Amino acid sequence: MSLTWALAARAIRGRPLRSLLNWLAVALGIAVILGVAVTVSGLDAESRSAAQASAGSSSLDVRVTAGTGLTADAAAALRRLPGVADAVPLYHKRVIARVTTYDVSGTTVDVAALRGGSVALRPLSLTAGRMPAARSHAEIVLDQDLASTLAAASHTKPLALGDSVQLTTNTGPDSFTIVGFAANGGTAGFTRSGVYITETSMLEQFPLGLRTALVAMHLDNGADPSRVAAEAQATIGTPITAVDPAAAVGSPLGEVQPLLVLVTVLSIVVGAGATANSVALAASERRREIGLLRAAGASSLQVFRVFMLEVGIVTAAAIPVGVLAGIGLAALLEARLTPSDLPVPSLSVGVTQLILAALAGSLAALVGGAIPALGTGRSSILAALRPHPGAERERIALFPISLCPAALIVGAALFITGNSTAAAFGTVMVIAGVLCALPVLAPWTARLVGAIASLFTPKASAATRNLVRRRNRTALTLSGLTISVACSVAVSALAAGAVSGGNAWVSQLFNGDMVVRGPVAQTDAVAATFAQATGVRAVLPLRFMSVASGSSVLAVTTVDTSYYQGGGAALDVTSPARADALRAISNGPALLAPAGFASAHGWLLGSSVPLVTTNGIVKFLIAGIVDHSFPSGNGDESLIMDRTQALSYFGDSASGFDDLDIVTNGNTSSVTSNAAQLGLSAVTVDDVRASAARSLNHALALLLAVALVALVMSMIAVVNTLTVNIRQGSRELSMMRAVGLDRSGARRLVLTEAAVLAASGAVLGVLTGCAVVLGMLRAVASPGFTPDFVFPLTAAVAVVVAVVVGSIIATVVPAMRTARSSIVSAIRQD
Amino acid sequence: MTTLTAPVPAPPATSVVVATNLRKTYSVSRPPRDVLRGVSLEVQRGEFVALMGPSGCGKSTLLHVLGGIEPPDSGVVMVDGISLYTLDDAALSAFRRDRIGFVFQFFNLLPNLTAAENVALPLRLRNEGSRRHREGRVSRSAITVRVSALMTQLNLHGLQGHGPEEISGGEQQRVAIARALAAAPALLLADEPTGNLDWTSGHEVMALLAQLCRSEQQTTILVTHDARVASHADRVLLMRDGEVVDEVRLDHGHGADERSAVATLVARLDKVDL
Repeated sequence: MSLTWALAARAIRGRPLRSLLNWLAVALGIAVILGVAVTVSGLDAESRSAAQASAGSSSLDVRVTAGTGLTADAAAALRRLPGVADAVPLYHKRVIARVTTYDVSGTTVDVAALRGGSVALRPLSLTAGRMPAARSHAEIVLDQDLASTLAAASHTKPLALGDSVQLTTNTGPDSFTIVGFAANGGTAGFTRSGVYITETSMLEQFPLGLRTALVAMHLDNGADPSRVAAEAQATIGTPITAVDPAAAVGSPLGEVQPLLVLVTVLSIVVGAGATANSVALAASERRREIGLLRAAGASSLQVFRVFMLEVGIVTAAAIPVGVLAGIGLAALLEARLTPSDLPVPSLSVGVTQLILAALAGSLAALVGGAIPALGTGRSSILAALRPHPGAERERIALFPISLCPAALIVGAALFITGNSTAAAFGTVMVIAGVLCALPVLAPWTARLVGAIASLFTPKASAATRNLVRRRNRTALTLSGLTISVACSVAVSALAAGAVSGGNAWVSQLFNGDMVVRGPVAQTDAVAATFAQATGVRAVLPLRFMSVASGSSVLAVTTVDTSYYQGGGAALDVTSPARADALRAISNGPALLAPAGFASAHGWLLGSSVPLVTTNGIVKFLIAGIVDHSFPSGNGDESLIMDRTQALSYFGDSASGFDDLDIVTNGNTSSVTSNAAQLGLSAVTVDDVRASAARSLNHALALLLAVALVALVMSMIAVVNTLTVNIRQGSRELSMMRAVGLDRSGARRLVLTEAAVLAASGAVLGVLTGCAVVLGMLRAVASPGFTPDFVFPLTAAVAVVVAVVVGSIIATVVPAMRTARSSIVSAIRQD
Repeated sequence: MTTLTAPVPAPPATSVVVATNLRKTYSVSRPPRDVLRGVSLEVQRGEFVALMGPSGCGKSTLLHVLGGIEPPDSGVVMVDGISLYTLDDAALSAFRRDRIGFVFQFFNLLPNLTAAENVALPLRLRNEGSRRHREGRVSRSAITVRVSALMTQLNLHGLQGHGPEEISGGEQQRVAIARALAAAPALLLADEPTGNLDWTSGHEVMALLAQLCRSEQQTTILVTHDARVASHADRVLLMRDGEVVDEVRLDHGHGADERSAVATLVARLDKVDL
């Protein structure tokens, strides 16, 4: 065995606790990287798979964005384009359905055409029965939710296979036999819940008003979708949008991914810091050995190699454990974080992920260890050979401190840009600035914490003096703790801010305290039923529409403006005066635009937006700007249109409601029971608010999990430092014991030092976290969603208590051992 | 590969150490303190020189400067014909490893290595050094032979596998001397080598160093504040306030006894008020 190996291996054996803690920190670092990578890729894959399943065999969806849709000839022409293997139009139509003749008004349902068991190449999944027979004119498949709604509306028993449903066809109400039930949720988002018939039946029995808004195309292998889209545009002649339906889905964690990357990187930095701390402590403990080696002729490179080999051995030993822990973490996170509309992904760890995680974690540890290891080789031989290391006051390194103002200024400037990527870098810069200043900040914070602690224990001042004297080591230990506490607090503050922002958003959307929702758009007669229910003061229909505008499709929500003008509190009109804005949209073709959305499109008050209506293209005026609006399917907010105006420009398609905003006198039972009878769901606005909060917390949970792992890693560094402090301070402690300090006093002194150190890191972390979260909030803000800063009091207190208590617990055993140790042996020279 | 033996006796007039006008100021002190004020010195091959003086007179600093572990503010140090402080870190480390041996008062041995491994340290460092400074690699068997010979010579036989904590202070110091001699250095530097030992152990160590000088022409510079220790040297340099204020030559020829050497030394110390 070479000398380098022998020294490294024996150093590891000689300090098993520190090696173990370092090993654990490196393993956790690898685990975090692997866990996050596997979770994100697993959820993305599941999401893509769901999108692929939803897209069926469609490679390209062509939608007409103006006019009334595609003609049959145009659809057939698309089929003949080079590279297109199949092109299937989506035929769908809204008609009235009844189960019995007692259901006078009927229920508006979406009818969609099936070709070969698929709607526009999307396979329909049956839960019972079979598909309609080919060329059948009297058989249907019904969505399960719709079946319940129809039965409830007609006050009949639940529908079963073989029952009949009347649909209004070209020739009047015709009976169709239910031969199958489909899974809930419709198909590919075409319908909320629908009725499925054969294409033959659709074309022959429902020709009037049949719109062909979309053609799904299956392309040949190797065909270029963008070229096919260009040729489709040229063939059709009118503006189209062509999208890959499988690709048009975002990652379930997409919105928090920049933050996730940031927190993961910071946790890697914490892991590297833990290794740096460990090597710095090893160098501090073994500086005599370093001095002897250097005096005996070892070059600085040879000394560096000894320490790096030690880090390398520990890192290599940590890799398998880190990988296993990462896989376990991924399994846990996937189980907890998978959105409810996706199945939990099966645990799949790629070799590349595994290698990259091991490499990144190892590299972080090696880089972290290399920094103090480089210093060890370069330290003065004489300083290393001094008999009582640590007795002298440490000097402040001015270079890193001089970087602090620049880092903070750059960080602040990046926050001001408001760009999410810039804000993420700004966060890094602010944290780096604080870390650079730690040799100055740490002693002052320790003094402050010590002063407070001195109210409870007289040992606090002595403990504080120890930490101040070893300011560089204290700063090094606090750096990891500061980052991880800052991350935890920032994520908690983000969650609190986002939840608060979500609450404000939801509160602005509804006038009432109840919301009724159905699987399909409901008629005005259903709204009238709720209006007559006990305890109901007002019912306000909300209709969500997609309207073509130029080459894009805009989401529009229609509202009953008269109620808002009469005192309804919903919709926070920021400009002009609320009354003027509401009057303007009730009097003509005008809209209210959400602030963020308007800003993103460059719309101002008075701008006009051309919308494709049943009367042709009409220019709608932006008559007001609202703070927030109803969300649309693509995550943007919708424009607000007056309901009466919508009916005049869009006809029956704007009638009825999707959601019903109900104002009650507090008695919601009749609304709930009415909704149940009609197969609709009734939820309170508080429930909607809670659901939004749950959704946000769900998205931020992964961030919090990573931040907590970082906290554990930094606690490892704290425990490591405290153990060495105790060991190196044992001579000093024994001298104090020799002059009269009793054992319990010695124990209290050590424990107080641990508490003051941990509390100092926690205080700095909380302050840093609060500072960076102000900038990070800009990163998570989206159009119309601007969460406010909310101090996460509970999380901050929990983190501070956890860190302080954890440090005290970790120090109890070494403190007791030191207090019991022999005074004589401790004060011996060597 | 190189075979290691004790230094070949060289003509007595050859200078191993030539230090010229060495100055050193500790500016961290308030006020700044001049610890070396133009010290010049020459040590011949096989000569045993002791540096004496009160605490803070600069004797240990001078030793460290001569050993290449603390550069002077000005002045030149030539050891075996090489100007130490013109070498870069790697070359200076290699020079220390191969040409200079150190013995300290405290903390002499690496705690993680056995006595034999401690003795072999400079040779193993040489073998694992950078290629540029790895001349004269020593085979494993040669190292074993050399370590065994040194340990026998220093009466450490049987302690090869023992750790530093398992042997006495005197034995530890002898192991340290063996380690300092392992690479057959041109210069042996000892900083208060008996300061942490009882009288008997200290005497044994000093007798050993003196014997090495006389029988093997091992050039040695020793720092001490004890006249009895210094009395083993051929020449004693007396220092005060960073300067060599006097020099005493001691006769160790046939018939000279230690008591008279001590008496001579003490008388001179009194004379220069040290």
